[in-house]
Amino acid sequence: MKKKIVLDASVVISSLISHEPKHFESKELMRFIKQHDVLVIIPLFTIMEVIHGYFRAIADMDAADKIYKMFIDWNTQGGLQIINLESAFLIHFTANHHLFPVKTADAVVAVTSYAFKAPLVTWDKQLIRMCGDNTKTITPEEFLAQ
Amino acid sequence: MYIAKNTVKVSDLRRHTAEVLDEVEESNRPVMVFSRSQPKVVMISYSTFESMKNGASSVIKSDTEPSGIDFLINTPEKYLIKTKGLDAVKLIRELRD
Repeated sequence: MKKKIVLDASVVISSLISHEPKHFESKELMRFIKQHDVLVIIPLFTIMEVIHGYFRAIADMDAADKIYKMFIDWNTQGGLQIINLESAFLIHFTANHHLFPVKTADAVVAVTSYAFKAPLVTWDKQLIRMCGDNTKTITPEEFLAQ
Repeated sequence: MYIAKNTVKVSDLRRHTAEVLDEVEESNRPVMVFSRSQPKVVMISYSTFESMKNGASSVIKSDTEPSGIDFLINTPEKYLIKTKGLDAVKLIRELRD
């Protein structure tokens, strides 16, 4: 069975910032995902965060548009499953958000991980702490060490 | 509209054959058809094919930039954020807080 993970925006953004402390580890994770054909699950909201965060950092609309195209290509090529925020997801969210005492955007990512039974991979230690044992939440380094 | 970054899923091709063929003809670019996440065939317009037969293969406008996850693995320099001291978690936290 294909291995699957939910990727947090912090990991994607980290791979795009050359001086970021975890830049090379994030790239390493991307290489692993490709080599081992790992299915990446990302809620639509995370894509919006990456595009918006990237644009805030680079202030270039064409470059931000390229990030959007990257996600679409990744999805077309079969390695990325995008979770639309519609009524089916709302049912999951309504049933499970109480497990995650975090802000709404964090809860969307955490519930995605919980609903799809896929570990959430993030650089955000606060998010890892707050998710507790309710869904498996790990850093890219921990995922690669498995 | 069914072709993203010069690639199309075979399922989309099956459902929207006429539209995809129109896009290939109008864009004059090679388009890879993916089946089960693997590239299977490449489609080109008839005019491009004729030009290739005449030895002018350079008429194919190929986009050499990496796509999909390859873009994140080998990000072209011009798309990298080079701001020093920028932390990905802090950047995302600012958006969420």
